[in-house]
Amino acid sequence: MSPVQVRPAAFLGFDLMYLTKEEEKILEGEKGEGPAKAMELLLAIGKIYGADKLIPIKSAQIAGVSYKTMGDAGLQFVQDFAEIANVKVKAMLNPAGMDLTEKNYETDDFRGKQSRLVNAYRQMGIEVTCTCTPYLVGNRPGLDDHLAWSESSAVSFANSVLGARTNREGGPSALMAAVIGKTPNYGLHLKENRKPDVVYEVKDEVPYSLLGYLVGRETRDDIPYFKGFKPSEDDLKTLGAAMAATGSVAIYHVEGVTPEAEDFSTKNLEKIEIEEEDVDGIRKELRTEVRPDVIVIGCPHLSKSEIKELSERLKGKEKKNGPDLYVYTSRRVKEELGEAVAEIERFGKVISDTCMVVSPLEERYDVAATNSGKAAAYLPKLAEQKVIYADLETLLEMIV
Amino acid sequence: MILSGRGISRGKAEGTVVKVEEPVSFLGDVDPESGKVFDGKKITDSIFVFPGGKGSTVGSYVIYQLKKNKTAPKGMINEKTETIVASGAIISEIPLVDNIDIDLFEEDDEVRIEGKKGIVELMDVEQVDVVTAFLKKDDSILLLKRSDEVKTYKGRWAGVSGYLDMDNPLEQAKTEIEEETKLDGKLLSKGEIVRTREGRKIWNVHPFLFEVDGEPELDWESEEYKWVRPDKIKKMKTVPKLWKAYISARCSDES
Repeated sequence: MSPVQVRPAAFLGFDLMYLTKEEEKILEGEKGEGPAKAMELLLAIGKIYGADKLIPIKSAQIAGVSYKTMGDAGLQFVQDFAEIANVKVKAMLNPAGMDLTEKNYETDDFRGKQSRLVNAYRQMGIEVTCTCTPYLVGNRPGLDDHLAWSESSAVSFANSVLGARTNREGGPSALMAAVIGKTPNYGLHLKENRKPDVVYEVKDEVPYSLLGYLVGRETRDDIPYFKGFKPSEDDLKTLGAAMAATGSVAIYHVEGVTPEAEDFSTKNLEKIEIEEEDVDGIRKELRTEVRPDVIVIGCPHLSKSEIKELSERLKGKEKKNGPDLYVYTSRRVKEELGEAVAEIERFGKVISDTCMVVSPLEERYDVAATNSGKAAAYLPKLAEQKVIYADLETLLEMIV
Repeated sequence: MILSGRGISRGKAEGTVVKVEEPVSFLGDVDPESGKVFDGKKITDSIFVFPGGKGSTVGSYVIYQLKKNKTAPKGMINEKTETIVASGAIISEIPLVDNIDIDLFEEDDEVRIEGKKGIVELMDVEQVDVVTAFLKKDDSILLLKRSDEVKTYKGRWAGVSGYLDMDNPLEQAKTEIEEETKLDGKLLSKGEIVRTREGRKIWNVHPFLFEVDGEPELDWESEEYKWVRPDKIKKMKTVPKLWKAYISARCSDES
């Protein structure tokens, strides 16, 4: 790297942040109003969290895409900002409030506004890949890559499974990071903040979604280190998503599995054993006698192998009179697995660009059954659902 | 009076304070149409003083919508800003300064903000500097009950205190100890200034911690004394912010 002249941005009272000449010019508006605002926002966040400087990022993943959560306030900002800014690095979106296959509604209802919101992001140069699993559809960061990602399960996967480095960004900060191509250097961008706080020894074979649900709730924002199992990548996706939903776990390590696990000593850490009976409590909490009226699968979005597995399980079966079935995945996975998707669609819908949490599920249903710990944590609050947790096999027994 | 904080969002503003005591979730607590917070006070065109933000990150965009609807405050002052309010203020070009003791502000105060410099000017207040000395013996602190003869805070418990008449607060503290207790104090530590608001006055309290031996001989300013364990200070009827002043005096001792 070429040496850059740095000096304190004292004129803004940013006593601890150092700006390069280039950054200073952007702040003063030489690159236009949008980048100046973006720079000001990144510096403010850096100041709040005690960052020393900005660091370049490889990509951004931006929340604030569903009209259901953004409302008119968010729509107005994104539309206005699209007129004055473009992104400088690869940037993708979080799930939207509906499947975007039918594009460009002109109406003033939910679909119309959702469509305008996504188009405004597109105008800034952001890829309209609306998924919580960008790492499954062509944006797979490497070890030590710095990122500005928003979606909590994607943040967890990037940090833990891939060893990339990102804080859990808010919608505005991820967007501004994409516009500048940098993020403030603090939190999980620093190796010392990635070390584990507590060890979980998993004694029995328990479902990853329930394990995540339990550990997230117990550990809150501590960094867990797991011993005693060898999860697949799909298992890690499920585990991390649940922990990030019931707690705010943005990184975890698994002995012998995740790339940074061996970088830290766990010698003096508190050790907690987890057995079957520990997750039984959660299972009881998430059980209700009510019959579900919809089954939702795909939180986070299903991977290729998960779609294939689901279609295998359904092959040759007949649909019986049961609850509706919604399966959520990214558009790319859906398009690449046409045959498997067709198999699943004999039983329900395979939907992309959106998910059960950010779309208005509550307009049609009251009781949802899911095998996702993350969905179980969010559906009651964000989609007014009574939730039933069950494993995939039990869910499928309800419809075949 | 000028207070220095951290500049979070640039710009200058001048206006009248509207203040709430709890953290604000702009999504839910603030109506972007009416500009009302908690269904009550209107923050439109005010200098909005509140501890900080909380809740959904969509709150940033609600601030933007307030601005668009012309229902936004002119400026904001926080105890501690988090990212939701910081982002909202910046995208909406509303000056914001944090790291400010919001206890010093009252409803309807006239205030000027300079976001870039991170300063807030509170108009029409008078500053009064006083010293307060905590005298420590073993594990106890000496408190004096203010007599009926003194002008302010009659009957309240206080440290050894007095107006700052000379340039040097430490010398003033020593003088007060000598006059009010006849004790010989050895300085242990000096704290940061603690400020407290009373009407149009702001008291700048310079806190000190001394070690003493023996019993005090009181003068006319006090009617009673007590040796108390420090944590009792919180529960007693004291002059304002005595506990905070004690913490301030003690902290620098430990550091």
